[in-house]
Amino acid sequence: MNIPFIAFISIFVLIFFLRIPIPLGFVTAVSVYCLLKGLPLAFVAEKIVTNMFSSYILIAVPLFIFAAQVMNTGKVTDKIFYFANAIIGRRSGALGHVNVLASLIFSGMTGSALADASGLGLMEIESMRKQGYDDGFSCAITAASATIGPIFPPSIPMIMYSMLSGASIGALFLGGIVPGLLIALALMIYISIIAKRRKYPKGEVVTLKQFISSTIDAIPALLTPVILLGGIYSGIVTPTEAGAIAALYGLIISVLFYRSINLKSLGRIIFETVKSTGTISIIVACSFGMSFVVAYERIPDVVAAALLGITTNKYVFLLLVNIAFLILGMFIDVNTITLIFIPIVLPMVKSLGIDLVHFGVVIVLNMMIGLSTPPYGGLLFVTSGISKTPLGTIIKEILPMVGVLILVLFIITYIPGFVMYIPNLLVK
Amino acid sequence: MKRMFGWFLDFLEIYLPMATFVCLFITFIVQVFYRYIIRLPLMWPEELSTFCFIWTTLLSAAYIRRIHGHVAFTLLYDKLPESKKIIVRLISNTLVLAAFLIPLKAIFIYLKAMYVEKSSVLRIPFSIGYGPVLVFFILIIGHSLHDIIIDARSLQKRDKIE
Repeated sequence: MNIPFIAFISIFVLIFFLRIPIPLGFVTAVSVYCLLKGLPLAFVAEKIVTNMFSSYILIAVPLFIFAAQVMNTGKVTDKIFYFANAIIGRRSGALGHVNVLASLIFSGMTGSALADASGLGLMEIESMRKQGYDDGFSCAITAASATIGPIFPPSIPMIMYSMLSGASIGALFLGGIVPGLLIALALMIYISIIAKRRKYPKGEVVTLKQFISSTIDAIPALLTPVILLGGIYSGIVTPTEAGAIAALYGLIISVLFYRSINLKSLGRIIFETVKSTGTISIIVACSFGMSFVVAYERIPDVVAAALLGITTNKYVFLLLVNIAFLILGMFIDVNTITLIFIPIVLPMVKSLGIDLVHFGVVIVLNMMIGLSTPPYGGLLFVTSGISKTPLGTIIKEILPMVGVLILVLFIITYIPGFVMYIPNLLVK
Repeated sequence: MKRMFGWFLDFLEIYLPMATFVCLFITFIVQVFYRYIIRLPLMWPEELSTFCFIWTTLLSAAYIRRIHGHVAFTLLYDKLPESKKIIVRLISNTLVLAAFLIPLKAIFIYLKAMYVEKSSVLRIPFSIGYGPVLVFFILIIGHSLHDIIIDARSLQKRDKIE
């Protein structure tokens, strides 16, 4: 290891000790590396802008953020919640099931776990609270079900993975359908067991008239995933453009059908979208410099050689990668893991003959579990923040749910058919 | 003067990225409309939207720095007493300030050189398309310096009281 690279690693570690904002920390590390290595200092900025210019697919990120903001402000989420409520009916622990079903429907619109938890979350938690559910459980199931968001298509993390790996984004989206449904099913089984044990209340009686009314009300919202996925797979729009279409459709139904967005709230939506873009996309932009240093130092080759020394068995490799990424997810932000660590393991994935689509879905689910694991779980912070529930209470409740999610992760890791069946059927 | 500077900062970090985002969104809609309704694929929307994306991201990221909204690992920091927190902030801001100052001149020269390079369809000089990166660096330097001054003053005050 040379001195510039040691300095680079040291600053990367300091980011965590000195509370340096992650994107600025990345620029700091790259700047010091270029200075010590004698590389042109303009590289620090050049890697950011040229990669942003060539990564057209990344524009989907602010567009899907915009779509999520429109859906949340435009009361589309409310309609989904009431519709899910009408479907679940009088089942024991009904609101827990409603929480999961609403997340599943919403995931077909935005592709962001944090958008799900912050949009649907407050309404779900408050309704559960009113019916006597434990606060910790309500927040935990909201966080765990939000994990479905980026697994079921569309998905922002899958867009980023596609950019890094070259895997077809269409196939990745299709590959997420069955795992998304599996997570929903697994969480619902878990809820049924807990609801019985803790005697959580049954749902309200929904008359046929109420059911029809909430279904009619929700139809425009329910059409969003149909339009999105239909548009992508019929070739009318690219996955990048789908974000814009989702937002436009959300705007149209919110203004004309639900009458819930005016000019003032539109300004607020754009402001919030720009803020989220400045938070998420800048991490991606600044990590391009990090990826450059990692590639310049041939780290993927070194890691590949080291891992191949341990095993050449792809199943053992997948186990090691899953464990490593679950640990990373506990401490490091998802975007950072995606952009720094995935490129390091990708050469190994290719050399072991693992399907890039299969690996993509597995690794995205793995990283999304990281959003619910303490101490650095973004979904825990969101649900704790919106409901004012102490983090410790949520953590206690979410640990078994994380266990359920890990079980699904291992099922899709070792039975690739769960991921690959639909892409093989429709794409290949 | 201070008010005008505040307005100028808001313009750069809030209103301009909001405008470029709206432009990005409309460009996408126009692109889909022309390709699938009028059956006339356009070349310029892809270029314009990419530039808008760069502008939106970099300028709004400076605003996020201003409101301390960037993702950061705070678990260890949160456990520190306030006096130690100030010292940690001073160190981290100084580190960021230095690291953003180091390449500043080189970035300026790079962007100047990129003026002759133009995008293939709209013929926009890359120095304009990529320009916000220099603004981003300058704004981060400014915000870091501002925070360093505030923290240094509060540290001084604490010393006097003690």
